[in-house]
Parts: sequence; C-alpha cells; structure tokens
Amino acid sequence: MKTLITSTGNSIEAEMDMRFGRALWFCINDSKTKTHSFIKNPYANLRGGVGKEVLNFIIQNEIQQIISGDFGANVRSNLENRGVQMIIIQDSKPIEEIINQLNK
Amino acid sequence: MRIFSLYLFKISSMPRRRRLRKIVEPPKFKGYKPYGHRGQKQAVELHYEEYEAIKLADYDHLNHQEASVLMGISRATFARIYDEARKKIAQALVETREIKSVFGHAYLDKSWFICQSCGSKFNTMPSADNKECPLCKSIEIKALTTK
Repeated sequence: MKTLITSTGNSIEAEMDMRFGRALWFCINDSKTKTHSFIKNPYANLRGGVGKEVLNFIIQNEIQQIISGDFGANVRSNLENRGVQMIIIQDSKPIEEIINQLNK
Repeated sequence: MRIFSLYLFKISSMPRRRRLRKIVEPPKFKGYKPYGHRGQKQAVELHYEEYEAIKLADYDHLNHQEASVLMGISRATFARIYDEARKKIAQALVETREIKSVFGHAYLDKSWFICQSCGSKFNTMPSADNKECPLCKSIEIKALTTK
C-alpha cells in the first residue's frame, strides 16, 4: 500500500510536516516493497487552490493512505469520497519512526 | 476489606470519561487574526465543539435542548461548552488575541476512529478491514461515536 507522509525535509531524519497542502516535502512509502522516496511539493508556495493540486497529485500516484497533522474541510470530504484513508497525528514525529511503523 | 477500599479509591480518583461531541461540519477557517494593534499575544484556542455550539445557538437559533440533542450531549454539557466558547471569543476580542480553531474533543459525523495506543485519528476505508490502527497496528481502537 502506498502511503504519503507530509515532511519538512528530504531525509528520514526530518520531522513530519503538520500541514497537508503546504508541506515542503512529500515522502511516499510503499509497504509492499518497503521502499520510500521523497518528492518536493511543487505547490507549497502556490497562492490558492493548493488542496486541489495536491489531490490530483495523490490520484495520479495512486496513493491510498495519507499521514499529516491536519486536513482542510474541502480536502477531507474529497479524500473521503475517493476512499483515501487519512491519518491525523497530533504530535510531530520523525519520518523514520512512521516508516518503521508502517513497514512492520 | 483493605483491597476493596483500595478499589473504591481507584474508582473515585479516576476522572470521568469525556464523551465526544458530535459536530456536523468543522469550521471553514483555521483562525481569525485581529489587525491594527501592536504586539503578539498567545492565540485563543476555539475547539470544534465550541464553534459548533456557537453556530447552533447563535446562528441557527436553536435552543440549548435542541442543540444538545444534535451534538449528542446533555443540555447542561452543551450550556457549559457554549459558555466556554463565548468567554473565549470575548477574551479574544478584548485582549486582541488570535482565534485558532483546534480539533478538541469532537468527532465528525462520519466513520472516524481514534487509536488509544498511539493517539492518532483515522477514517475507515471501504477496501480494507478496519479492525486495527493503520499506524501502530494496535487493536485498541475506538469509534468516535456516541451511539
């Protein structure tokens, strides 16, 4: 299963980003192959409509699970309709810790 | 006898479980900021359920009884949340503080769960079996519902 984790940096030591659409980096973890990759969020500095762009990105990459600190109201209902699972973590953690949990 | 009294002590010292408050829709904002003032102060945290209480009572003009039924809590609890919400908003206005909307003790009127082991909240997926926390694989999960 492909999981997207919002991240503040491009290494597994980085803390996760509590923002969803404006997160600096996205970490995509594949629990089947136990591999992960980092992609810079191209929409982080967009003025508006960030959620929509990121949603398209998620659909294109066939992501089934998203881990972030919060989701906006529009994104929430959209993801719900598309059957993408949202996981809200309230205290920021290093990416490494989350990946280890996911690949267990 | 001694064991029994210890047991009683344990029960009486334990805080009561806080029931979750149902909200129909989260606020459409993340916060409000005052302008034209100096200095930054700590923001006031308005919980989702407090926003919902203000909305039901002052915007939809429901009485406290009707509103409490909608939120799945008792009338007295509703009154307390509503009172707290008004105090927070008044404090923000008078002391020129920001208002931030935070999740609080609410749940959305959908299929959301909370993991009691790692504290993460997640919604269910139609495809997967939803018996464990997707993150820590704990089975100590609880539906965010009152019924």
